[in-house]
Amino acid sequence: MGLGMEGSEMNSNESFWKKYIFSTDHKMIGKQYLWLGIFFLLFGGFQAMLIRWQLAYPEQPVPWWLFGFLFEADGGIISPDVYNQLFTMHGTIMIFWAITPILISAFGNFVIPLQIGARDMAFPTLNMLSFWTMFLASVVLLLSYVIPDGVASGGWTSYPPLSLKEGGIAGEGQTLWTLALVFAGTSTMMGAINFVITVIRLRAPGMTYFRMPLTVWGLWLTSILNAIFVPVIAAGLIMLLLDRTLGTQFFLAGRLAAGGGGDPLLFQHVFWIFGHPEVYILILPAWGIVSDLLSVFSRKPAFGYKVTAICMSTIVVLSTLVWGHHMYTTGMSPLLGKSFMFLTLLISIPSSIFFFNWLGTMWRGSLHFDPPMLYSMGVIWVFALGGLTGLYNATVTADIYLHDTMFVVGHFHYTMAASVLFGGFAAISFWFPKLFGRMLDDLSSKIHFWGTFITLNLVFFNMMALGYAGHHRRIYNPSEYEFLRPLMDTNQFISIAAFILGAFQILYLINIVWSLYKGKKADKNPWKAATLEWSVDFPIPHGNFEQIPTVYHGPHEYSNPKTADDWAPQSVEIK
Amino acid sequence: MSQHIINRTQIEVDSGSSKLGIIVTFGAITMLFVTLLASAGSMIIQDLGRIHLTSFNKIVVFAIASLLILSSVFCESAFNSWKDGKWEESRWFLGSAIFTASIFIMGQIMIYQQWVSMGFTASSNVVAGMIYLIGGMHAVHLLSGMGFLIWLFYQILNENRLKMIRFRLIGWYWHFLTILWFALLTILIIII
Repeated sequence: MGLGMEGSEMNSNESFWKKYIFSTDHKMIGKQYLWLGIFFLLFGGFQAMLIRWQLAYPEQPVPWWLFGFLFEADGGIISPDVYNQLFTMHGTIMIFWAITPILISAFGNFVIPLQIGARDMAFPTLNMLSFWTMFLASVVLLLSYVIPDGVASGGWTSYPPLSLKEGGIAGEGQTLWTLALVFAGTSTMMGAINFVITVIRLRAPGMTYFRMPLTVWGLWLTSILNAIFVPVIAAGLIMLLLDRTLGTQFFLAGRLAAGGGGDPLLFQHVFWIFGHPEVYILILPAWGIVSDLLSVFSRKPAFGYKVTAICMSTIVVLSTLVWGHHMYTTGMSPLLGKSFMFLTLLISIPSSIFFFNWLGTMWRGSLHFDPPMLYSMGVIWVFALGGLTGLYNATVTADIYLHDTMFVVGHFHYTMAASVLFGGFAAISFWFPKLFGRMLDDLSSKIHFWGTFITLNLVFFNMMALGYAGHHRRIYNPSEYEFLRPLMDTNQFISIAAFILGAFQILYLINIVWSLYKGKKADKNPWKAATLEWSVDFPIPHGNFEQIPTVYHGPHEYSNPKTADDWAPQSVEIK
Repeated sequence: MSQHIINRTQIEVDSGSSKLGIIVTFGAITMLFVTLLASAGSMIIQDLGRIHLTSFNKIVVFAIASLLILSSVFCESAFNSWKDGKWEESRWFLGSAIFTASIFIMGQIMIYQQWVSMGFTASSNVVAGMIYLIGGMHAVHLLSGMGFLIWLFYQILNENRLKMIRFRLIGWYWHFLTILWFALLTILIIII
């Protein structure tokens, strides 16, 4: 069996279908999500390259190495309609079909039961159904590529009336987009319920909340947010779907509405009540993973472990109260704007605390610059830039100028794309030995890190500079605007950097595939990490542990003078 | 390779997890309806539409809704009888629960038909649309609950072995839908 699927041995009398396709083993489901996420990561990334081609070389034929033949019907160029479709699907796919499956579903599934000392998820069958619901959502989404009038093109936010038939998108691609998101949301809900209950109910003896790895904290808090806020966007999407299919007018107004009409801004509220927590839904797992990995590769306990966990929880609470900062320009009352600004700026306090905790963990540590550590340090850098630039967007006066510019695009790519992707790369390289029994090639990983780190900063930092100069997002051809013409060189520079960034990701993919088959066989615990997953041999059987382990201390017992080695597994008592 | 392969039957879902799981699910469903209700509220505040119900209409709506309470009571009685080993009695109660729920659904359809004849269609104004949507979303959950009840009825009819937690949780789900419907009705009647 390819794709490293042999890593999850189950009851030997189970059929192929039960073992590998409709498996209820959390590790196998984690791998299924990983491959699904990587497929869509490449797909969404390819769309980003096309967007960058259009912005740098507007209305010039797409070259062969970007599969120019796909655009032959339009004379080899990206048409305005296709451009709208590209940025819509890029955002949608990257957020809901790449980051969510990889960081939350794949690693949540693989890591949570192993790290808390459980045999499986609380509801293994629900877990399997969750994956196949996501698969169904993926099929529906991809179906929109083969129907007339093309895929959705109302932006990943799909604000009405852009996303409606009246005055918006006539084709059924947008309808399928909405339906696919409803299915994806259902899948996310199933996963969230499973993760929340698994952490509450199935922790091993001695695994108190404040002995859980911060990875589990991040994934658990993310799941709580998902359980609360995915139904909110589901309600909005259902209303949107009815507007598109049954003739209701919840989000139509003005002359577009036949009768009294509804309220387009209502969709924005519903979207961002979910959408802002979604930012933290995506980033919390990365924060948790990085917090743990910095400790492992600094050979020091995580600085301020409890404070970090409390800060993450505080951010979860605050994240539910700040959605209005996405809507400062919608004409909300100044008092409301100030309230949202205050609450948003308040988030910088817990964020700063655990940011400094990361630095504290590394401070005077015995740093090991293995690939997972490099990626984790990359998260620190990009999160710092993303976080700091968020302060401008949080401030009403600055945001009114910066709203809907490339500054916002640069900012959220630093936080949601760069941080989360580096977190994902860190997770893949760290747990690769436990997932597949082999090591990722060290040199290739390091080349990938530096290549990605440098080009990624060139891309996103310069996007912010463009935005500061007044370059709006979602513009089809910037060269048509006189005030943007002087910025075309920067646009070309960003695109070239983006193409190189894309090339480095191909290197990473080659590294993964090569290492799966030819990589060095991994030891049981190659990183000398203290958490429970490293106490079991590869391949990990269904059920994970011969005996449920007893946990004696926290997850970061490194360089403890009472231990002979510089680390103590959580299941070994320190005397 | 380590030889401690666990048989799937050893990874059983414990009842505590199931109970907690369904409570979290109730929370999520509640959030869905809270969003719909808040949306309806914001439309009414902005005066985007109205639906005028007479006192008689309201009484009929609540009277039909009371059938759900009856159905819930029957469902609980069915559980208690089954727990005590009284299969025949449990069958009768469960059948009654399904029957009263069916009458409730038919009653709802009749109410909607009457509203449509009065000019309140889903597309006539957004508040009417929201009310149909809320009713429809509840109906989707109710029909899934009916599916569970019918499955339970089949098991009890054939005196099949049944895990207590399954019966218990289906009952909870049914009670939750009743409480949810009364909460929705009360709030809607107040804000309309």
